Amino acid sequence: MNNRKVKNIIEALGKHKDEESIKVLNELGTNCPIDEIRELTSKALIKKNTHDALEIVIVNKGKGINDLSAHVAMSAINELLALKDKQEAIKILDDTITMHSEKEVQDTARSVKALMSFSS
Amino acid sequence: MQKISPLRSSIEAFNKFKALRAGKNNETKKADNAASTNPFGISFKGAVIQMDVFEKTDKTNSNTAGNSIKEKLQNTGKLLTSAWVGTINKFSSIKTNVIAFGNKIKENTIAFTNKVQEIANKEVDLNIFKYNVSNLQNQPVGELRTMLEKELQGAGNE
Repeated sequence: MNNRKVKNIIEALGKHKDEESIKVLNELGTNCPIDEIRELTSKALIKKNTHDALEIVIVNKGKGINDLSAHVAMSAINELLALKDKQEAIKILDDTITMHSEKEVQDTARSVKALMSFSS
Repeated sequence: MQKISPLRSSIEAFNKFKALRAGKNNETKKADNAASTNPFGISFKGAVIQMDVFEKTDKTNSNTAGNSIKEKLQNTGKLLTSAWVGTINKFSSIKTNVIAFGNKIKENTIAFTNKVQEIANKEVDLNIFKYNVSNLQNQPVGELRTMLEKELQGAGNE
């Protein structure tokens, strides 16, 4: 695998204005068996800071902050904490805490929300 | 009975060795002299060819005045033959050098061709700006999707 190429493509998709790029990142990046790719994809989606992009990394089990790899999950959380405008992320975290069916996902969202409130 | 000291015996042995070496050196010098009469370095069946080869075996009397002219002509003939043999030798050495030079050029050309083919077979990505983020950003998502799929497929096969 050419790391530089993949990294640049994912970064370009993250900066792309077309909403279709979120779909591509969700389908190809977050489902990739390689941790590094999942980490890069989560970061790219969070940097977009849009509702659809943030929903993928916060709500879905096994993706973003709920990733099975602790390293990937921590990277996603760090990226969320680094956001300048956290409003949309906190809104989605609130919805996840109150409405998600999985308790594990709710707990993670609660922890991340606590961290975000401390950091802001 | 004379008592021989170890020093004297060693001196005698050295003198013997010296005499033996001097004898050998003389033999070598003789061989060198034989070769020195052969200015063109031509040998035939391992033996060094000398000037005598060009001399006639049946020698005639050189008392008369007519014979002296004949002798001069013979000597000129000998010199011409020597010169001719030298020229042949020179040409043969030039021929050998030319063949060696040709072979060297041939080998170098083959090596160069192989190297060119090797380089041509390598997949060289000359478009270094193709994968720049700013460049990729302007491309349609569909194309980026194809590129990412291709790269991830390659990563999966590794």
